[in-house]
Amino acid sequence: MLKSPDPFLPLCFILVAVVPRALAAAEAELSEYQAVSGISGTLSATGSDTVANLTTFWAEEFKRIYPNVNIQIQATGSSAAPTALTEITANIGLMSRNMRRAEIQSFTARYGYPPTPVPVALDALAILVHRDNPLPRIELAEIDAIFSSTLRCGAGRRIGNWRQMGLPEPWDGRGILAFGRNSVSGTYGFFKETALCRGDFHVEVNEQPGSGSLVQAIGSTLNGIGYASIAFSTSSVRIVPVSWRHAGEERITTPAQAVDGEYPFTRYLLFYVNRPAGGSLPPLEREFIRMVLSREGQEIVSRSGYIPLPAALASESLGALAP
Amino acid sequence: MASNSQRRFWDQTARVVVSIGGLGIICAILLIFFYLVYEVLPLFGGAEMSEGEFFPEPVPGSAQLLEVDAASGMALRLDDQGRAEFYDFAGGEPLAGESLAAATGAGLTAVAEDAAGSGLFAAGFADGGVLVAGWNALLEPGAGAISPRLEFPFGREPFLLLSDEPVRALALRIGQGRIAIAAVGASGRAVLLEEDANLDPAAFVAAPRPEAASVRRELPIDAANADTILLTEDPRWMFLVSASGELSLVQIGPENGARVVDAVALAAAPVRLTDVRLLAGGMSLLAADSGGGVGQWLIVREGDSARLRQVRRFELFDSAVAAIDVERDRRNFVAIGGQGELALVNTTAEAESLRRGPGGSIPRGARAAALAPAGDALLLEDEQGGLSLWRLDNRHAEFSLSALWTRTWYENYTEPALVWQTTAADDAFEPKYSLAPLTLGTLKAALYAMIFAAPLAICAAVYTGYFMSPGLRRQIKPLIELMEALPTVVIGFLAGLWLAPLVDANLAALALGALLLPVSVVLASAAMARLPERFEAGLKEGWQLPVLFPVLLLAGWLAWLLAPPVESWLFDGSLRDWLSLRWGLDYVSRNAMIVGVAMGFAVIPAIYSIADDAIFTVPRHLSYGALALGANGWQTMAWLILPAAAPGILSALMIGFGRALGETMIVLMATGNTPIMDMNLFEGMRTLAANLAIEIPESEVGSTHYRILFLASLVLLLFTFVINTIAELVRQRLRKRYRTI
Repeated sequence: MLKSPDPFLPLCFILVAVVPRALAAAEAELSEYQAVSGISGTLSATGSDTVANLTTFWAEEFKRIYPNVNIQIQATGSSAAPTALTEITANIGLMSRNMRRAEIQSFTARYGYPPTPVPVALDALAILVHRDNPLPRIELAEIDAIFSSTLRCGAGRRIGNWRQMGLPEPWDGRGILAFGRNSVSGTYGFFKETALCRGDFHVEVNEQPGSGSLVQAIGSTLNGIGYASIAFSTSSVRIVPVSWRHAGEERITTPAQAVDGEYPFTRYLLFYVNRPAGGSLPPLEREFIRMVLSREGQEIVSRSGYIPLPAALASESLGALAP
Repeated sequence: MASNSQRRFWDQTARVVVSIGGLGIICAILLIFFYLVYEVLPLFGGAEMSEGEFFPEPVPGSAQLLEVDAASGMALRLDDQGRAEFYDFAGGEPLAGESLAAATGAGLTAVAEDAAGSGLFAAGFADGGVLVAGWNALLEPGAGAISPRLEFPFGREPFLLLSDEPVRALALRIGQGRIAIAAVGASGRAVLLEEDANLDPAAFVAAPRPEAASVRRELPIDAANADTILLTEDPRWMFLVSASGELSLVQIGPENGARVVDAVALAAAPVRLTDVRLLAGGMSLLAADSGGGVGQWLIVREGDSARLRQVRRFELFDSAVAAIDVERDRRNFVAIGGQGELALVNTTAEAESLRRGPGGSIPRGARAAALAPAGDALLLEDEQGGLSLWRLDNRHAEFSLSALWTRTWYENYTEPALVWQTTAADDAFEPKYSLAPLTLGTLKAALYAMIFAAPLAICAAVYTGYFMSPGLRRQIKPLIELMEALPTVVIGFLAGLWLAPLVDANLAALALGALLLPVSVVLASAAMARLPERFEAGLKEGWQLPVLFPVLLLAGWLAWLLAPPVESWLFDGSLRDWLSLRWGLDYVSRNAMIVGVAMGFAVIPAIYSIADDAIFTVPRHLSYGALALGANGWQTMAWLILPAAAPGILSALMIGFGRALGETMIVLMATGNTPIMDMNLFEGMRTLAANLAIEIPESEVGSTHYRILFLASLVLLLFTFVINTIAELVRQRLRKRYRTI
């Protein structure tokens, strides 16, 4: 195993810090969604396939309430969302990472105000291996050593086979085959920023067009390893607990602990909307977001494998959207 | 007569319509070409600089910090007394300023900027306190137009880093959820303070922790010489720079660990160091000297330690470089010379996008410069304290032909490399645009596809075009051509999701099969030739093929049966591991072999169809003549038919190759799209076409990335153009040569 001090762990925990606080205040229950009249039209959403996955379920629920609404969802990747939102080819940008400064700027240059982010759910990235892989846990620096060519998280050298990970026969003869997402995906950007400490992916990380195909690829590759949102995990792969050190003590965490703020790769899933400064959203978008942030909407989140938003945060963003 | 004029009319009309159609096609192709060139051309444009706007009155004192906001045309100048003044170039008058020093009572002793252009800076005072302030115009773009002012995101209470000791040198890093301040006192002791904080308004990570964790520690290093200190963004590294030009690299470890890991001289006498800056991203250091040069120093990892290394040096001016400044996100810097020289340089591309010689409109004796965060404006301060604002248009600084094709030393890499990696979630990412791996990948995919497809397609064409009876050929040929109707996305899907795992699981059996099948065919043919006369008579009627089928099946079954014992006997149980351990060939399940087979499958119909026509149209009387003169079937085919059909076969191959070069979906789906520089059959590749399909949706219209993608498509077009031209030339040659037969 790699001996890594992990002194720079807080890097990965920007988000984690926020969650427990929000939870502590989250005693208040989410309210049920109250339908309003006169909602119809077409709503289009473009972006992250992770968020699109969820949005499909929300859209079903929304169409059940408002049969006259038509919702189109395009799952290409988070980086497609800012462009689509700016060029008005979508009303809602689905993103699994925050917008970059440059993306916000090109939106602001067009409209004079920045796009409005609305968190809609929590998600955790799981480190996945083939279901027969006995790897007990993985350290943060080891993840970087497998996926990056820059080793910015403190590892001494790259890890290229399972022997370096301390696996026994017959695994010690096998090389590691790393799978990742393609660069349009927000998961790619988020992983690069948190797990690689803003380094670069190694060129031999195989890019997959979607999280589903990534999980499928790992499931069919004995020596594979990769990362995807927990909601995509299937029985053909195994989630490896991630271990990190804090003040000299080792903590082994799983994505299930994301809600406690313990798991390093936790993020918000976001809607980005075009809301004029000081103005309000069109009724259709407003009602859709209200539904998403209602009790029903958040129940859909937990049903589809993601982590619901803390109630306080949900009502906070609802309040921010009110005209 | 009427019918005659009618005929003439229709003849004319048809001629015009056909001409319009033909010209239209040529125009369309030219338009595509011109459009690509049109999108690519701005890359080569370099930067432009408008004439400066000079602020009417000179300002007193010397600037400790200069900042400029391009949108509002305003500048912030912090002088050595700790007064922050704002200048509005549009209005031409100074606006109300604020004094930092007044807030603490002690005098200002050091100033440090956070990442360039972030708008945040730290001021160190004689009493050891450090105050962090920001300019609202840069913190919230757009706000500066209303009224410029200082903001104190951490309150107006100074951080007490050094008690009762003046701050001599200071460094500040804010981001990734924390603030880090390093300070060196007059006695040479160094202190680092880290606190959890999040100031990024763009990031949806909400507020800082309620119980903000704060760690202040003394660093066990001697910083008595340090006059300037700089922190990397992590902050895992600290640079100590002395006025005489010595640079020490300090590695900051956990708890109280910190050690000097390397020390170098930035400038050797008589050359003096004039300015140091951290480049955007905070991982490399720029050092300007009195020799007129600017060097870029990287931290190069060596196992657990690291060394400093000068990876680039720009010899810019004949006289000293007076000042440099960097952009916030891109690897651009501006260098100002004492005689009014100016150069705008991108380090990654190693290219100058703008240069002004001495004696131009740039004021002589400029002593400080500030680039706007996005690099769209430049602020200069000259000897007399005169400020001037210069608007810049420098959009495509990150592009240079040499960075596109040659090895480039990027930050955090241990050596120069050819890398294609264009996006990240953070803004200060150094994009890596090397077309070399993509070009190699394109050629690799097409080559393996041709290795698989060419023999099969040509043999099939020979068989149907020469040996098969024309009646049967009429039925078989459309069948093969039907393969072309299969959408490539389906082929790619099958290759990636069905073939790749299948080959992965049965690698040894397939390798054995590839060996056994040809051998079995040869053996079966030899056996057939020795068969007694009466059997042979029965086989003559084109029954050779059906007889071969059971033989092939048998060979395949044998290969499958024999694979496990052979694998454990020859390859220590696993062919894959054996390849990797013995030959260093990594086996990736979605590899060039899979692509070769899948793409080969897609180009076979194209090659076959043309090659078959070429062979079939060789006049029959030639072969009859040859046969009549005593040549057998094989001889006629090899020495007569093939040479005569060679021009056609060649163009068939070239068309197939051209198609393989441009094929997108198969490569996209059947490989991992890894931009590697490797011809290994068992690893994947990333092709130009697949790369376009992946990255065009995310690239911002008009950005450098977007235009480089267009350049990539131009390269692809050039490839097919060159190959088709060569094919046509060779074809003409061959046709002339074999015209005699």
